[in-house]
Formats: sequence, C-alpha cells, structure tokens
Amino acid sequence: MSVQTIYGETRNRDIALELEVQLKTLVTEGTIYLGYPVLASADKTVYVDALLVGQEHGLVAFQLAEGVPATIDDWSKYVMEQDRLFGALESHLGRHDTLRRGRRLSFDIQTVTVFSAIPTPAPATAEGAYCEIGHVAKVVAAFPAIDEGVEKALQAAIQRVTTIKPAKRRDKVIDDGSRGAVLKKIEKGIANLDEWQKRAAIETPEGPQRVRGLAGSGKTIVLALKAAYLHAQHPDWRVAVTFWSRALYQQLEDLVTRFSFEHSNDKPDFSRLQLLHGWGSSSRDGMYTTMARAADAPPRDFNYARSTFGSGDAFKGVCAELLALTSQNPPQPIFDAVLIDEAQDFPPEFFQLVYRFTKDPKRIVWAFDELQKLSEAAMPSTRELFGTTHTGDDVVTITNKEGEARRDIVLPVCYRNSPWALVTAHAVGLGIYREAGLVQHFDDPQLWDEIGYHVLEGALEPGSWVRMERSRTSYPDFFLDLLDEKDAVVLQTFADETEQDLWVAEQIAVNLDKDELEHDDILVVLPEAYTSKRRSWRFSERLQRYGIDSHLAGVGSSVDELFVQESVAIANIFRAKGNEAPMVYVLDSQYAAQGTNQITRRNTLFTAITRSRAWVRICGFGSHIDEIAKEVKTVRAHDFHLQFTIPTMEELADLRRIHRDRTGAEVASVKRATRNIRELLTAFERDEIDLDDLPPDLRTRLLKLMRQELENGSY
Amino acid sequence: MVATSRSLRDELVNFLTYLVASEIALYANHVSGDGDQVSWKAPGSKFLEERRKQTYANYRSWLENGAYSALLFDGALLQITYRFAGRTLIEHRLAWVPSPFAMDLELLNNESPVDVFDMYAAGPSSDVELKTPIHFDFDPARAADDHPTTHVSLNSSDCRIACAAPLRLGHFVEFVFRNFYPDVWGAHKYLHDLSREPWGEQTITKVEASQVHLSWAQY
Repeated sequence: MSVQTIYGETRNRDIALELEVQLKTLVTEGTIYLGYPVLASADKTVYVDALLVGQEHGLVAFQLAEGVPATIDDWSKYVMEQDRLFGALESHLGRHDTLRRGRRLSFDIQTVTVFSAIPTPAPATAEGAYCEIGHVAKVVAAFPAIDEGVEKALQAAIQRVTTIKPAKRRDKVIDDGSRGAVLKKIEKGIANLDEWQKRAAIETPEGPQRVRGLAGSGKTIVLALKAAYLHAQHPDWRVAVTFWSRALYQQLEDLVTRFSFEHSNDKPDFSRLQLLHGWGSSSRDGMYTTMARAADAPPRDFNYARSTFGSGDAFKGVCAELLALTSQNPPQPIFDAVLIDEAQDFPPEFFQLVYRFTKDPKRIVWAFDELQKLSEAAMPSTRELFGTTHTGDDVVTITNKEGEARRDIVLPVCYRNSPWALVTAHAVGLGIYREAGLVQHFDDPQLWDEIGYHVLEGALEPGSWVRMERSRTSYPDFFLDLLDEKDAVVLQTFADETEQDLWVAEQIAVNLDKDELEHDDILVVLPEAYTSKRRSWRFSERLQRYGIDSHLAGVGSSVDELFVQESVAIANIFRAKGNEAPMVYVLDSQYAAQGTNQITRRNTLFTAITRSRAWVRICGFGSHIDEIAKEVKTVRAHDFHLQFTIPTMEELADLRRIHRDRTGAEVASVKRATRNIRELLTAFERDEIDLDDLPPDLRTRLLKLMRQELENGSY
Repeated sequence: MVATSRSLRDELVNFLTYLVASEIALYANHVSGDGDQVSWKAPGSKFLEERRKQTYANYRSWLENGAYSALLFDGALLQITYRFAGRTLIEHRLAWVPSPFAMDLELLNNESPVDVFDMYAAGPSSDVELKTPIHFDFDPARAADDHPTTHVSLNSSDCRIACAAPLRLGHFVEFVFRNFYPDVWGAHKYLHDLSREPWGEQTITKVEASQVHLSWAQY
C-alpha cells in the first residue's frame, strides 16, 4: 500500500504541497487529492483545497486559510467557511446509498482549517479542527480509522462522474441475445469514467500537459472534464477547448455541460469556457479567428488561404502568417488555459500561436492520438510543436516529476475498438502481413508498449523480430464477455461492386429488422473521398430497395451532425474521422491495395476499421481485394498476434522513400495523359469519333474542365 | 395522354441516376413516391422555407437540409415535385435554383457543399452573382385573374408569366439545360429525349395568351 497524490488545480499551491509532506509523515496508504473535488451546494460552490481518503483516518477535508485569524470576526468567518465545507460534503456524500448506514453516513466527516499561524485560540463553540500547518499530522492522527469497505465506497463516490453520456434507451430491444441487447450492455460498461481518465482529468500542472492515447481511450472526455473542472475552480478564467472535427462541437458541449452540473450544479458560462473550432467559420468564431482578432489582424478565411497557400497548407499558412505578424509586437495573452483535442491534426504554427496567446504559466493541454497516422514521422515532437528558445532549449518540456501533477499522461485502455478490430487495423494499416513487406512503421518501437501491446517473444528494438498481442489491461472486459471474435471482424470479398452493395444492403436490413440495431448504430464508410457523392448514390439505391433511407454525411444533412434519425449514415473517410458507430461497413476496401500512395491508402483503411465500436465488416471487390483479404486472414490465423521484424532506421527511411515518392509515377502519368488527349483530339478532328461516343461522365468532366479553365483564364 | 405518378416516378428515378452517373449532378436525393406525390426524400430535412422571398439564406438552408431533387455540379439545385389525384395531375413545382456564387467545381466535389458555400459567403459580397431562381408552377386550385394556372416566376414572387400548359419533365429539363447549360445540353442527348407528351388541354386563358407568355409548338 502506498499513498497516492492526485495534483489538481490548487489556489494555494505552496501550502498544499507542505500539507502533502506533513500527511505523508503520518499515513501509509490512501489518496491525497489537492484541489479536488469542487462541490456544489444550494447557493454556492465549495472548493476543497485538499482531501485525504484512507483507512487509517477516514475522510479528512482541508481548507487552506489565506490569512491569520486575529479577531473574533475573523474567526467567525473561518468557522462559517468550514461549516459550509462540512455541509457540502455531507450532502454530496449522503447521496450515495453505499455510504449510509440507516439515516446517517457510516463514517465521520473530518474537516480541518490550516493556518500558517494561530495567534488566538478558536472560539469554544467552533466544531471541527483548526491548526497550524506544522500540527496537521498530530491533528489528523487523532481521527479514527474506517473499514476497508467504507473506504472503497468513498473512493468510488469521490472519483465518480455520474455518466459520460446517457446511454441510448434501446426500448425496442426484446431479444436478450440480439446485437441491440449486446450494445445495451456495452454502453452500460462505458458510461463511467475509469480511474486513469479521472486522474488525467484532475491533474493540473503549472504549465503545459500532454495527453496521449489511442482513439477511443477517452481523450475528448478527459479534456471536457478538465475544462469543466478548471471552469468550476476559476469561473473568471478564460478557458478555450479547441478541436478540428466540427462533429465535436455537439459532443463537447454535451460533455462539458454535464460535467459542469456535476461540479457546480449549473450550466457552464460559455463566454468564459469557450468551445472553439480550430479555425472558425463565417458564422462562428474559432480559435484562430479569435486570436487574429485579439491581435487586430484580419482573420483569413479558407478562400483566401487556399489561393494564397494552397489547399493542403491553407491552415498552416494562415497560422504562420499570424505568427509572423505577432512576433514583432507580441499581443496580450488572452487565455488562462487552452485545451487542444485532436492535436495531431494541427500544424506546429498553431501550437506556437496558442502558446503566444496563453497567459503564464502556459496552461496548454493537448491530447493526441498516438497512432492516427501510423507513421511517427508525421507526429511532431514537443520541440517541433513549440520550437526552441534563443538559447536552443525546448520552449516546452513535459517531463513527469515526483511530487507534481503529471505533464505527460498516457491513457492505456481503448474502449472504442475490440482488440480484434484494433489488431486487424494495425496489421493492414502498417502492412505487417503484406506479401511485399511493410508499408510503414513508426520510429520508436517502444510505442507498441505504450499503446497497449504485450510482447510475447522477441524485443521492441529496431531490427528485432517480435511477436505481441493486445495486453489484457488495454481493453475492457465487456469485449471478451459480449463479443465473439469471429463476428467482431468479418471480411467479405466480392466479384464486383453490385454484388458487394447488395450484400451490405441485405446485412443492414437484417441489422435493422432482426438484430435490433437502430439506424444510427450503423455507419457505412467510403474510403475514396473524391468519388464519394456519386458512389453513395449507387449504394443508397440498393438500400432503397429494402425501404431503408440513408444520407451522405455533410451533403444533404447538417454538417455538424453525422447521424440522422431513421436514416443510415454513409460517410467518406474524412467525415467518418472522429466518429464511431457500433456496426461499421467499410466498402471498397480494395482501395487500400491500389495506387502508388500506399501510406495514405493504408491509413484510410486503418481509420475506417477503427470507427467500429463492436462490429466491422471489411468489404471489397475485384482483384486488389485479395491482397487485403490475405492480410486480414493472416491476422486471424496468427490468433490476433502481430509478428514481424521491426525495421531498422535505414529500412524505415527506405520505406518512406518508396511509398511517398510519387514523382516518378506522376511524370509517367502526365506523359500517358498527354498521349491520350492527343489521340482523342485527332480522332475528333478526323470525325472518327463523336462526343456522344464518350461515356457520359467523361463528357461532363471535359465540359467542367473547360469551364473552370476558361474562368481562370489559363487556357 | 394521362400519366400516372408511377410512370413519372420511374422516369424521374432514371433521370436522376443519369445525372449522377454522368456527373452532371454531384448528388441527388431519392424520389419519394408515397401515394400521389412525386418529390424528393431528404432524410433529416426539417422544413422548406417560405418561397416568397428568395434570399441566399434560403438557398443555403436547402443545400444544408438536402431540400432538392438534384444538386448540380455547379451548386445549382433542381427541385421537382408533381402531385396527382388518381391519374390526374393536380399540381407541379419545378424549380432551378442557381448558386449565388460561382463556386470552385473541384471543391464542391470534394468537400461538403455547405462548407464551400459558407466559405464563399464569408468572402466579399461583390462576388454574389445576380442569378434568379426560376420556377414553373402548375396550381389550378389557386388560379385567378392575376394567377395563371401554369406560370413561370422570375425575380419576384409577384411575377407569374403564363405558360401554355403544365410541363413534362422533358420540357423543364430542356428549358433549364438548353438555356443555362448549353454545353451540357449539347453533350448529353439523353436530356433531349425525356417525356414531352402533353398532360392534357392547355391551361392558358385568352387574356393570358394575349400577353407575353410561354408557349411551345404542341399548343
């Protein structure tokens, strides 16, 4: 047994740390919370500066007084505050059946006000303890022990956040063995925070903090909880939560609101706790536009950015511009804390801007998905994100130190994906069982350990052979209890698109009719974004035959919402990102085995598979699907272990060159195209062919090209 | 010849499929065919805003809520609704709603159309194009002296230029594509061959016919 400290946001850090030292001389087990919890009473929010929970002395709540009581009036103020603290704790804890015996709490709440010095004794009528910091251990030592069961119940009550999201009602579920019934149980299982998430949310260092974890490990929840916690602690602070997928607006607003009620019994004040999209739009300010306005710089829109910096670098471009503009006259920082979700989607310039616009001590928290891009080179280091000082030191360091809130946090449990789906996604994403060898790998093999793999044989070293599996602690029990690995990941190959679409439509009909799933439990993912609008029409026609409505996300439905009632969502890979559904159908998976840019295509398939919360169907057709099919089957044949030789640094460099280097292919394609166009035009001129001889889509594409080129004056 | 909602529905389904397959349309909604109304089915679409005032907020809301039969490659919307009572046509509303901006075709294809629209809307207002939606309405129930049974409206909701008779799909498509997309019209013979058989007698009155109106050789 040992004493664990959770370092929250404290107003009185020095005394709090001194208190921790004092307590640790006394107790040998239990948890010390600093700056936690925040309790809502009827009319006022009550801050608990420190809390000790352990078997030896039960529950002790501390108030760290800022002054020294000199007069009777002073004393009555302190006594009143402690009484209020007691009252808030009593009513908060009294809500839990497990903590009551009969009508009363099954233990005594101890409250202590700690002063730097006490010149006059407390009034005789005052209840509770009042002492100098040096006498804390002696005072606490007198409090009686509690039994183990009560302590467990207490810890649970204190760490508890009622629900992450209200589980779907699923009233229609009748058959206890149906998929709908399984989901009902899974959703119950993830409705509560785990210990890791809770700790990560409370711990607040005096400076930047990084939160890492796989998709589905609860990063967004941790950030939302952290934001609500900071907001409750400091209602006057300006706290911003920023993100890239607009679908997160809704999710974050829900979470933050729910958590705020938990802390302060009230809605958050969204003018102080701001949810800001990374960029912003014409109708809603974002993080970037807010910073630009604060610096009196013109906020650039996408149109400007695209024509100035190109589509791919549009956001990086506007951030770099604002960064340059503000480097001469650094603006007044405007934020007290900034929390960045989906950090992997933001360019380093954005981080540097946030740094510049955040007040000391730079409370910047960024959460990112370690492996969204599968290739670590795409994931900038902290140095690359924030840069270095003129003396060459890192601007931001995130080393964890003993006796401080952690600055680098890993969330180890993945709730979203079944271990089978995750291993399959990693295998095909990296090309682990690809006949022609790996497509990509990250630089640091130790990352496998951090993302929850357990090495069975070999070692996580460059050049070393290794065999590993998902570690048992990296996924919750319910996957094992409720799902069958054969059904969790299913691979289906077909001769052609029609055959594939018919099968998927039929399956969806079964899901809705027999499996007791609802429309919004299902997500159909299209890997290729460019053709997704037309592609979705063809697929949705198949669904129509079963009388099933569907919609293509972001087209003909609100941009910020992926799911629509009574309609199955179809999404291209960009829209699907950041979203999840229990049942996922990945169409056209052969996409991942075609083309030259294998890294992008493999990443796409990885993202598609990892959208699934329970079941995934990897579908594809034509000859290229065989390559993917083989790899998926090998994963299963190896019992969902990954075994391969980790590439050396040289091999990694080679991989990147081979799979990124597209210039050779591009040159060839321009040559081929020129030749074809020449042939085409000649045939036209000789009246050998008529426009009508071309397929209709080619005709329209030619026209569009002409329109666009004429408009740009580049003919 | 009297058409049925079913044959019209079939023709519309084929027409929309062709538009999507030939990339003239970026996207289309499925045809709703419940009972006597042939229109579009847009999951999640809440309501259709008032058509009297034609603001670009209307266009945006239609775009966002999928309130259209087809979204053309340049962002224009086709809204096609026919209503029948048994085998008799009792109403139609056929509209072409052009986008108020000349939007980048590539972007429209790759991104969410509303996002692209918002991006242009955030730009200078001098980019707004003066284009009017055009709608052909057949509405015998509301026919009056100043309200021709079949009419075309431009610019103002008070504008009701009389038409000779209700329009078949072929008429509407020809009007839109021949006039506003001559290149597309020229390249796609399919569009020329949609139905044009008269729905029945002409609906234009003598008075209306004495004024500037729309008529075609069948009448």
